[in-house]
Amino acid sequence: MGGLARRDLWLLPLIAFATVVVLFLGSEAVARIFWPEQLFNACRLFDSAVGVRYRPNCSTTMKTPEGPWYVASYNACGYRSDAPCGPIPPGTRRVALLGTSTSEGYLVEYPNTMGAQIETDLTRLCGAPVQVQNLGALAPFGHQLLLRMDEALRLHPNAVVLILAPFDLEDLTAAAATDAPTAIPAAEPPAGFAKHVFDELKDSRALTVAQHFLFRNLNVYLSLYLRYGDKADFLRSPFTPKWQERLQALDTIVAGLSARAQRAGVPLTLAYVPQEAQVALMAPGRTAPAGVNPAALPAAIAQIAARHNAIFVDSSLALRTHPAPERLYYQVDGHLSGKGQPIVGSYIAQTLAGKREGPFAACRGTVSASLEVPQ
Amino acid sequence: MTVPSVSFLAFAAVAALIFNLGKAAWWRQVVLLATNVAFFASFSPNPLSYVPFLAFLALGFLTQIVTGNGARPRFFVFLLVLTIAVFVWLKRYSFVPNAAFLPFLYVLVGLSYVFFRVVHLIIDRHQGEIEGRVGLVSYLNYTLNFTALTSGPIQRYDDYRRMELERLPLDLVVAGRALERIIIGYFKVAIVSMLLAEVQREAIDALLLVPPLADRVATGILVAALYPLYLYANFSGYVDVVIGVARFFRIELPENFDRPFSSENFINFWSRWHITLSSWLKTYVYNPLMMVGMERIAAPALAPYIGVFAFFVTFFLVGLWHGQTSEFLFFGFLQGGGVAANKLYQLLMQKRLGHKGYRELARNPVYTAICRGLTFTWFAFTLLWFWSNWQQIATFSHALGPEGMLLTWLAIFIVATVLLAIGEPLRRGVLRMSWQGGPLLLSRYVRTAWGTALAAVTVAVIVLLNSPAPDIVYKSF
Repeated sequence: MGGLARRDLWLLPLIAFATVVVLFLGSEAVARIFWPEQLFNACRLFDSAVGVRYRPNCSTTMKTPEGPWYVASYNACGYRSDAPCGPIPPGTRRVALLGTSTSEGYLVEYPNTMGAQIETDLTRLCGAPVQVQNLGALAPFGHQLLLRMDEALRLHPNAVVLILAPFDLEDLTAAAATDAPTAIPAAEPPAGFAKHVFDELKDSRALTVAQHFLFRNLNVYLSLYLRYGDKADFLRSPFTPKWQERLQALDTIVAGLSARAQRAGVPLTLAYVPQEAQVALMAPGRTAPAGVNPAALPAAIAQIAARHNAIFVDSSLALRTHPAPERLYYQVDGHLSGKGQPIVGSYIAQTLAGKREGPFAACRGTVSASLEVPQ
Repeated sequence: MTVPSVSFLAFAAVAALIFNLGKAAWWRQVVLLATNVAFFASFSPNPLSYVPFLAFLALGFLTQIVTGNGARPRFFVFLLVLTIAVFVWLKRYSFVPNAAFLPFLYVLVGLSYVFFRVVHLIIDRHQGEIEGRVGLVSYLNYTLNFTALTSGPIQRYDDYRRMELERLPLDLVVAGRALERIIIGYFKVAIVSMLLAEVQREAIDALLLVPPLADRVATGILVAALYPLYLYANFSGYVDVVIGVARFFRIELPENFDRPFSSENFINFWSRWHITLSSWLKTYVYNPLMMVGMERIAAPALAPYIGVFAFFVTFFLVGLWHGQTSEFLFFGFLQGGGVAANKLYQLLMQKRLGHKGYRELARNPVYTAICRGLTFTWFAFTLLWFWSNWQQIATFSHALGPEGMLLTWLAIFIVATVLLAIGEPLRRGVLRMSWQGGPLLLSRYVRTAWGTALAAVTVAVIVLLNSPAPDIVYKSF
């Protein structure tokens, strides 16, 4: 054994194993102390019709490891808005926001949410109070939106804005868009020990923190994201059959939303929020790799909006002017941070106020909606 | 195949397993040859691209046969010059007319290192330093040794042959140490050098934004001082990996680094940095130059200055060897100039203080610390012509301005002096902590924990990045 004591045959492997365990537990403990997380939303209620609602007049404290502690408060209707959801006070205009986590301002303190920013900016630009009822919820993006639209229209809004991001479309299918019965997926076999360990490691805080710092290197982040497979295929044109199906399903949903909005005489706006890698590729001076077209998805959604007489707002145009637009997002989580949400909110407000007709025609917006369709 | 990379390590692991399956010398020679050929063949799918390299190898093999053991001195000189000329031609040095080059792409990986081995064989065979004939299999295994092909180290043939004949033992302790070496090396290349390169790259970008003077100086320090550290981590990490891998083939490759930043002067630095290259050049350039100089110049008073001249030529060639552009020519001039100036200074000081007085001065800790700081600063300065070009140097100079440059280099000198002055006693102090009759930190238990920790961090980062380790700087030479 070359001078190796007999006890070393088990002691050395034990030391190696113990080192790995201590390293992992140590880094996990440090990460949990310095990067705490609270993603459980105590106000969340599951609703068989719309998927998720929030308990009325409820507050909950939340935090992502990458962001600050914040309190998410919901009004009497369970919407993330400061304004009451009852009858509209005289002289006040109301905007209803629809969508999922991005619309809700997930992981962002209320004053920095796009809803709060739209309210502030439109009030300033219009010289009269404008309130936002934010119906956005961490819920599925599908036919449930039609029910949310009905709910929104019952609030008598002057405008409805649907916020959508690429990851909203990831699970969208033709069946999900129409409430058609879907095949019940086969029950997954019970997870084995290896899978259990892998899942635990994947959820490790230390890993999240490590990824957070790694992803700050744009080259690393972009090269990894572009290898994401189907998730990242919206950045490639022509679209894959899966992404074509998703766009078709979106078209169906927008048609339903638009029909309802037109019946109520309320303008519908589709506001597109780009994904982090997408906007990073769109920033001035950066070139997308061959086969990658970050403008393809907003262009396709703009066409859907045009087909159904909806206003289209591409917030990529505002986000990409930031010197480092990727820093407007939580690097690992992928949602817009408290720096990115207000930019999108301002841009939507400017666009609505810049319209020559409609509820905000008299306001002083600076962005013409006709410019929003990406070339 | 990139060295080091996960695929390289997997390739080496399989080959080492097969190599150690048989004990017969012929088995191990054949397996090593197959491994070397397989590794060499991984660089291009085009068979034609190997022809120039193989022709060079054939020239070397035939030359060492026909000129061996003092045979035909003039023929020896002719063939040696021809071998050097073919190398220069194949390497496409800029002073050779473009029209003379081969009109197709061919494999050049490791040719410089193969050149050193071939020339060493030719000269030593001619001078009778190598006993017996050099067989074709031994020749190919020696020159094409896959562990040292791309970037050295440059092993002597007699050392290699000795290990070929009496294969070194490979027990658990040796295997553990070899594995530890591989882990440390991989960590240096994949983590340390990657981080240093990243910080330096960001500093270069920041420098070009022309911030206020204090920020420019701080950024300038990062730009200039991080590169030597990066180069050390990158190259010594590679050497650690290949030394570890070679040990599994029962080959002990020579060391290439010996804590170079602890060097007290520039001459000493070059005996601790890329050791095998400087040793080769000392043997085949410095020593012959000294001998010729001493023969031709009879005046004893001039003898020390022949050494200064020989030093200059030797280390000018060290610099020049690294590349074919005018930047490398200047890099060579700075290396040669640095070593020659160092030698002149030593002569001057010995003249003024006497041998004893100078030795006492050299033992003074403050003087030693200043010398270490100065050596690091000079090396960092010369490296500007190694990693950038004239245009970039002009851009940096313009961004820093004259006062910024002065402050940057002064700050690098002061910081290096202080850190190296603290580092050396700290290292000695840590190594003094003993356990079971030896330094605690060198006990196999601490080393096992340390090696495991480095391996865990390296694997975690590689998995996170899901990308290969950065390439080795010295591969391109």
